Amino acid sequence: MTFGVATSTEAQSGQARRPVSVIVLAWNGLDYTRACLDSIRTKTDFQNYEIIVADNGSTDGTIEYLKSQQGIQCVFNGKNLGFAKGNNIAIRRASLDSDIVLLNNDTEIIQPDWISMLQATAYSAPDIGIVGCRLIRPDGMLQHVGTYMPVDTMSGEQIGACERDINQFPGSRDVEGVVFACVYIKRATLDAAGLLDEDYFSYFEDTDYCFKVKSAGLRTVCCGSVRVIHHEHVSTRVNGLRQSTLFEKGREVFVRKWGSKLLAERYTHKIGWHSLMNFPTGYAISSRELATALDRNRVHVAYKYVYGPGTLFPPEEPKKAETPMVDVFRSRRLDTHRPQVVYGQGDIFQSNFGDYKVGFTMLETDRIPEEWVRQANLMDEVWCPSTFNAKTFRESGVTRPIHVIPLGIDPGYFNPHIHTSRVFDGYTFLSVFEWGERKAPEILLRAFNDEFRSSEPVVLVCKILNADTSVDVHEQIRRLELKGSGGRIHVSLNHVVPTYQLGMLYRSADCFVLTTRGEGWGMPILEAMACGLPVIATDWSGQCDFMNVENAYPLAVEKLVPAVAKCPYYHGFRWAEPSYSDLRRLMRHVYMNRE
Amino acid sequence: MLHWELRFRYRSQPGMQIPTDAEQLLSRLKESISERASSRSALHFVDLPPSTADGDGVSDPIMAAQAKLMAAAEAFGTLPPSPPTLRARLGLAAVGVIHRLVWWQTNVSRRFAMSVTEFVGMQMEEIRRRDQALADIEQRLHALETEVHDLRRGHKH
Repeated sequence: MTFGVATSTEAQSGQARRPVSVIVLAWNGLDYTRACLDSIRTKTDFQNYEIIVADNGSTDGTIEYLKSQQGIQCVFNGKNLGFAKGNNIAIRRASLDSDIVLLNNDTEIIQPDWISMLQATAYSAPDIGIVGCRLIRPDGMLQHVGTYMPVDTMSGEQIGACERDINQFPGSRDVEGVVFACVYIKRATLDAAGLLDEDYFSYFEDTDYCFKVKSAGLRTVCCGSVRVIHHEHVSTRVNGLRQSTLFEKGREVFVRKWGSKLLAERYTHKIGWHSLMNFPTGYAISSRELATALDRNRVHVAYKYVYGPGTLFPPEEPKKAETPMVDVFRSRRLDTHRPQVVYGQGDIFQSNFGDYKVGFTMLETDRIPEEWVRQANLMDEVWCPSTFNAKTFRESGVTRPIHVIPLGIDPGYFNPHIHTSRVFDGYTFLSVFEWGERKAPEILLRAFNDEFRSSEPVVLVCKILNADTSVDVHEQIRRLELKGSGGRIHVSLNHVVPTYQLGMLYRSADCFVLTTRGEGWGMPILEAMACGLPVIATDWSGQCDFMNVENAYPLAVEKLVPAVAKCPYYHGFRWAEPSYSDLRRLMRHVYMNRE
Repeated sequence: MLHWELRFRYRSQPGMQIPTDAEQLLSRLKESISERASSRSALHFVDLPPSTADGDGVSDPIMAAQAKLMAAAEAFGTLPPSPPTLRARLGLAAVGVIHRLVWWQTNVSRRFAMSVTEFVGMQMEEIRRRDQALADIEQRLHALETEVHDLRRGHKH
């Protein structure tokens, strides 16, 4: 995925500068319409545009207000014709050489270059047909940065909905659909795909149009650099209508027109996914990310919770998922004639009952347990995220074909454009980890405290999770006898932030450091790198697949040592001992050579 | 990595982890760093009460449950989503007929659900109020512990 971040300068120097007709559809809600028109006229720096207001039979004084306004064209439809028909009438009134911007009357413009940016994005490629934008709610929450239509429910998913606007998905990217509360439609698109489908009265006409445009060989793009406030559902609210009824009617029309086609064409492959998704653990998060990525790449994923009563992890999985797609995956029926993937610890592989079985796992030591090897050899193939694990699996006795399937991050949420606030004016090192032997926290805390003086403008922030009630993290750290004159360390213990906000933590710091003794993959390292931070991390295990001297600061390893920890899987194996002296050297180096 | 022990701890100690908002955490970190600039101790734990107004609909399970209940109450009398198959369409039509036949029952159910929602909302407010009071006490206790510890260390050195 790439983000073509269109800048204001690019927008101004864009080749196009085509005239634009901004069409505002209103049906009562005078206060909103007034605020919308005022914001367009006072905030827009684009010169060559006209405003057309289409009124769908308002009775609250909107008509009188519109008649009193200079410099806008009005279309009085006399009654509520619905979103599609009302807008179509106005589009026909627009200048024939102009592009169209549809704008709901419950929107507000907040950035002067909004039309310039939308136009620059629209003309950045000849096959772009429609450009939507970042819609935000008045309270700063995100409404949408594009839409996706799960074929199981045909209810539509608004990407980023209910998240805080942290500038996730910056720049422009291809999406399946956009909400037409604000949309830029090129004239050529109207010529190719026609007007909005008037079979829709309200809702789903936008998704329908995006699909129609796609059928015409054109792309729909969401420009994340343009923010527009959208109050949402104002027409239904001020007119006393039930939004769910209108939504359902729109959905019925959409299903009739597109249902069969989408069902037939959406997926090319099918798999069963046995794992966990709805817990706050690394495995669960990566599991739902993988399944979602597979879905977007036309793989039909049916999900089954692999743990629960009678397994080593007895809790039932919470029914309601953080991500709506998880509920969709879970509602699907497993087809055991298709490949079945178990993604979890290696001793759960034998629960795989498909015709073709895949076991997907990882471990942080130089070997894996015998039981894992036995169960891996019951699979048709074994997947692991890193070449490190491919080697340790093979050397432990796995004889089945092993494939390296790297994990990844969503660059929409982990990138250098994420908005955040700095916690310190000086230099901030950040570490994020679960408390335990594997992360060697004592090396990190001692090295930092010894290397820096309290008078230096540098701090170490550690975001630590500890779920072990028998461990007193306060006490264990205090036993380290850190020097009062040494580097200052601030610990956030057991504060869990929503997954999508993790990028904010990384972006608040200057350098990420992880003194791990071993990783199957090393997700926090990759996340920090994707956010543009210099990273210091142990030069051993899974992370070496993506981390090297060219893009990070690999931390030297003293030697391999017995993996002594509570986790029974590690017994008898080894992991790395990161170098205390090299860590001090590297931290001093990045501190002295900050960019 | 989901450790073997963690598997059993997750459900038994859900209260150990405090859902919070990144902005809130960063803001508290900033305050902590600023407040402790001249402290004699190198180590500081950041205090943070449980978030009560997260807005992402997930971090506060009670709020999420209430939102779910309200959505369910609102959904009384609406037709369920269904895939675009003939069987589903027939099913949907049948449900539509039943809805029309028992329209009076739907209204009774909706009123009942709204009453339950209102009652749950009142309970939630009370829980929140008590939760906040508990968090304040814990925060004060922890600050006192830290102060005692720092005093002891100062005395030792």
